[in-house]
Amino acid sequence: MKLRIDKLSFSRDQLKIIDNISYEFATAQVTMLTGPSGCGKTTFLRLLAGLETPDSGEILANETRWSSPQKIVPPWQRNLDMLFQGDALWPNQTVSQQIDWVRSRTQTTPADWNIDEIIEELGIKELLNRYPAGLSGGESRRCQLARILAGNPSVLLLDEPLSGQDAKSAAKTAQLLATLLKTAKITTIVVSHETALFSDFAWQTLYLPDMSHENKRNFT
Amino acid sequence: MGAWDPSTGYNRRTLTAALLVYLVLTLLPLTLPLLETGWQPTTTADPGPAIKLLGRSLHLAFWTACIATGLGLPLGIGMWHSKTIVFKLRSMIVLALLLPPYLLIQGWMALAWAPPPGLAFLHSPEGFNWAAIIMGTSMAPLAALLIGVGRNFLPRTALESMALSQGPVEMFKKLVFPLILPLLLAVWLIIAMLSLLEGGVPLSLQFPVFATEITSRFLGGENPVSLARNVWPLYLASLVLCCATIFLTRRLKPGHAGDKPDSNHFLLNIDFLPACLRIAIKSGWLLFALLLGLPLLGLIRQAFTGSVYSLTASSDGSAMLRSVMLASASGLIASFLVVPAAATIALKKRFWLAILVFLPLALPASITGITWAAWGVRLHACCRWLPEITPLLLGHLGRILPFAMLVSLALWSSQHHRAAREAVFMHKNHFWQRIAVEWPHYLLVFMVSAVFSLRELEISLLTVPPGGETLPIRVFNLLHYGAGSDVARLSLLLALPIAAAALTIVRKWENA
Repeated sequence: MKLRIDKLSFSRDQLKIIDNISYEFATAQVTMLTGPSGCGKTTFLRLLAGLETPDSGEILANETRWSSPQKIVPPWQRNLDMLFQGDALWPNQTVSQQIDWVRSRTQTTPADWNIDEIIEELGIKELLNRYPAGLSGGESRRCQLARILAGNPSVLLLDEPLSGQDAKSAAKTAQLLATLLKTAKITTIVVSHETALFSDFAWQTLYLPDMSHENKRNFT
Repeated sequence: MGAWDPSTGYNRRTLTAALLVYLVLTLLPLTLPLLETGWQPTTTADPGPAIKLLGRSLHLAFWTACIATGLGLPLGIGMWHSKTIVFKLRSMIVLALLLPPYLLIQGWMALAWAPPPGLAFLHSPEGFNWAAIIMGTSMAPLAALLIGVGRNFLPRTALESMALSQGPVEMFKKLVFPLILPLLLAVWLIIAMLSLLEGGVPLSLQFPVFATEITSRFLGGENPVSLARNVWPLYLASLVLCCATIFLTRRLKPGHAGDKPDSNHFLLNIDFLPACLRIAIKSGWLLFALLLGLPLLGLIRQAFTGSVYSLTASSDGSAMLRSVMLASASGLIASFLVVPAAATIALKKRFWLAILVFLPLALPASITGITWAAWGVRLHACCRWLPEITPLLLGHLGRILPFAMLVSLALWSSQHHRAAREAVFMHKNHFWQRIAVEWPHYLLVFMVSAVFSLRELEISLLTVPPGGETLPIRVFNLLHYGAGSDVARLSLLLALPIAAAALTIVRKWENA
């Protein structure tokens, strides 16, 4: 899915967080978004997800308007999913129940990946029957990632996917994401400070305050 | 504008409708002076008696707020640390808050009529002193809970750094008390405002104040419009207190999310304080336990030692059933109205709307009751198919909605499961999944609203249809004949669902 941001601005409590940015994310690109703390990276993802209303400008997906100050297409009509920084696992279900629920709602063609293998790779097989309250921060994020990948979205928004994980798990998760996203046709935007771990597979790195390129390259 | 509102997660039409219905139900009392009743003011009312009554009301409110804050402060400090007995018994604190204060009156009455050994000096409760003590005791749990929440306003790192360099006593003196002082003042003001508007306790204790006078005069046949026009000194006083509270609470800024001391933090354990302070705090707990426990034990003792059981299913049973049904209906409507309305205020940060929705807290319950009684007649005249209890139900809603709003706002502001809720929105056909994530919030608002409706006396007295007694009215009527065993049993019957609700509220609050 091609995403186009046109003169997008957003402010909160009279503080300008996103200021008149324009950009185009091509289909199936993996983009890494970086920038100093508080520059609005998470807010930018929330705007893309339809969880915030822009003050001005618009977001278009395949030239269909998703967000503008007048109209917001609800998140569930966008076929996207987001890995949240907070604890986004549903407290009332076990991890496996959540993954199954998301799978049962997937209407698009399944991606060329096997969710059972992903669960194995993420090292969460033993956690499947646990409730979120019994998980550590890092475990919770890996479970959330598995739930998101089970939904096979067209756009993937990952907010600090490696935070709260030990170095080994973080490297393993980054490697898994690299393998999956290289083959899948998913437009992915990753917010992370772990530039080294994502530099192998991110097609480009953008610096948020002005969306300037830090680097740009092709996988091919 | 599109239908979906991203910041609240509700349809914009739902939000507007919920807010409008809320405002109509709660602000309707403001229309009372404009109602056409055929009454014409002939002479200018003498403001003398009104000012004198207001003076009595303010006097009672002042002492009630002092007693409640004085008892609530040690309890609130006790709630900061999980190892204290107060924290462990927090369900009891919530229960004490939810129990109607006339149960305390009845308990003290029972103790005075048949005093156990050592308590022969107790007199039957009536007059100013008893009104202040009983209202102060019944509002102390509110002060305790609000001061308990004050833990979230303390910066953990600053506390630790001060404790390391200056010691825990200096930490309390230089950091903790200055930081919670605005909260303490706000608590005092809230309780003073609520006491100013409370009519049930002074009415039962035969201590006439402004709020009781309105009810008595309306029940005595005075024109409601004339009453509403003479009630402005009370409106004004409560409005001033309400505005001062909102102004003060606006100045309270919760600390950074990651920098709040949790309930296991060693610095909040009172064992670190010097012996004299520790003794003062524990004495406060003991005093509260005595003031609450004694009358309740008196009530239980009377319920089980009096005459043979003579409650009747036809009168007492039907009153109980009517009360429970009314409470369930009020709770259900309140939760569906208040949760989206509170989301608009908390998540969209509409301060002006907050002032508007809390304005009804400054209205006396008696005026709400009188308005709904007056509007009820008009409603029946144009819609004869409406059930007779409609004014009663709407009057209850008008009274309990602002309290339900407070609970819902607190839950929205804590944003505990925000990411989990938003993650649900990413998927199609998520209705049941959303309900599963949000239901503790709805349940809590339902419980609090239902309990407030179950214990509501003043509005019920004013709006109840003939032959439609609720349980609090039955208890109130029987109290005139003294604190008999049957009344005690009825009161315990009323306390039973409230106790169940209190336990559920505490358990669910921590998950909501």
